[in-house]
Amino acid sequence: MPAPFDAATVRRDFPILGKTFRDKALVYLDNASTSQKPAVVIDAIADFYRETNSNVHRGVYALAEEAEAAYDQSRKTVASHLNAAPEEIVFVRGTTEALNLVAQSYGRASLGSGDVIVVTEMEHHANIVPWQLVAEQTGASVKAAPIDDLGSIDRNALSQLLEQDPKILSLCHISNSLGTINPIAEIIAEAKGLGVVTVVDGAQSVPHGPVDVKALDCDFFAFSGHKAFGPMGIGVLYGKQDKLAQMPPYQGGGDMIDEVTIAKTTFVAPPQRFEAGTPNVVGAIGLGVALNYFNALDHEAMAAHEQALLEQATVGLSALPGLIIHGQSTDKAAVVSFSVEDIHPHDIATFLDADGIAIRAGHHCCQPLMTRLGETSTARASFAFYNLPEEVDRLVATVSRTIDCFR
Amino acid sequence: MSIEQKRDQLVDELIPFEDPFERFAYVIDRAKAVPPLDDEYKIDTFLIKGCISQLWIFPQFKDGQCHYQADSDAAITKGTASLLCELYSDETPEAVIGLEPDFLAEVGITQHLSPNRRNGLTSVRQQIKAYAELCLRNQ
Repeated sequence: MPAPFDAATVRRDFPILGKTFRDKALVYLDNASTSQKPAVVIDAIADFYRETNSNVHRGVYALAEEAEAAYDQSRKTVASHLNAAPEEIVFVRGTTEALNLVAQSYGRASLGSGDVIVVTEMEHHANIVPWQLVAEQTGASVKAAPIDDLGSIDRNALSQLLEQDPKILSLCHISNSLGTINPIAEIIAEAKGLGVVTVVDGAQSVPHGPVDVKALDCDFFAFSGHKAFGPMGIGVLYGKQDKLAQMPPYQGGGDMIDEVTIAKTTFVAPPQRFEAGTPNVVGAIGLGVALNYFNALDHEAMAAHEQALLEQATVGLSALPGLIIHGQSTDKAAVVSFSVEDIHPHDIATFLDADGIAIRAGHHCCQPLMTRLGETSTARASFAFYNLPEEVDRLVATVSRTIDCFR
Repeated sequence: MSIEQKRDQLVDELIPFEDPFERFAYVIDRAKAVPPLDDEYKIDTFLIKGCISQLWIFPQFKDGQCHYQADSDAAITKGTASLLCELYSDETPEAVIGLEPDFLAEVGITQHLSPNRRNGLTSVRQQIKAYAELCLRNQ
């Protein structure tokens, strides 16, 4: 039974959140870029290097066996978190590498001239560019389903694209820029009914609640450890066993081979087939610890807390003169992307920074979305479960003061 | 007024601001006071590399003196770059080359800018200096 959720209590688990910056308490609202790390994760990383460090695979001494066991245990933890089998979990560097892996392995082997890959207008570049690269290599093309003015996918337009017999649909579970939570299960069911392979960019959904890939029934699901309270440089590709089994290796090297001769190499089964070279062992271990930490929280109470922060920020910011919030979908994660008339988002971020408030300003790796919004960049405040209502108050007050300075 | 006197005057104007917001407001006012560059000068040749906002510095050389005008889509960027443009305008190439803009740190402008924005400012100084060196060579 998880302990009752209290943001003020859980944030004490995150050492960096106690930091003062420019003589002010740090208000960290850039969680969609990367999350902060609880002490248990930081300690696990240090402990690994102090106590367990050695290389995994084929070790014939106790220390290596310990490292291998910890690495394997993390794969099981990730698998259990996603309701998948450990064999379906490939450790990668992050969501970007996971999507490149699917594109270059599954995509390159299965796509041909005239084939279509469908994405959406709200995708991060990491879910557009890998598909463009494989499209160029195979003669396929990439088409994007448009979004409506509220920042939701235009389902009719998406349905029309899906009916044109595309081979792959790749879309985000939650938009990093808009916060839109896509009706992912419905969309996957629709695509699956039409025989389309589905890829989900889960970078923004994993930090906000549990994900069940079996219930979603997607073919692939990708996420990054560092956005989910784990270390940087580790991420996960979930792939259905039958899909992974038919895929050629993504990279060649040690640990992914069965037998090597100069004439020919045979490969081991997934997931090791896709993990060439020494993996990020400590990253995987840190991620396992982060997910265990996350799963000990009351997810329902945590989600309610995040929604309250979103509501508070939306109401507070909307009331400011000239401020527009981009992304007003009815189903939204705690992300507020905004712009203010005649004020550059970088200037807003610089003012907030002077007040110890960290937000992101820019195109958020979503240039096609920015084009759709008619902006080159936006300011974005993104929240995690450890943020407090007082921090939202500070955000709103400082944005208000910033606007005053410009008028 | 010598370039050093101009610098000292800027320092005198900027030093009293203890609150970074007031200092930024002053910088924004400076940005507003500078007319926008004509679109014909907002081209890659005058675009400052390494700046996260779009920033153009349009240089001219007349009667033995350098002149600079800045424009940007971001007000803090335009205002800060305009402080430098004002300092280095109506000055000989030798004077432009001879004075580094260390005063920006002294008056608290740079410490409230992110490293990315500080890099942009360094690029502005490099561009201003490079143009003065070019003028000197061609004189």
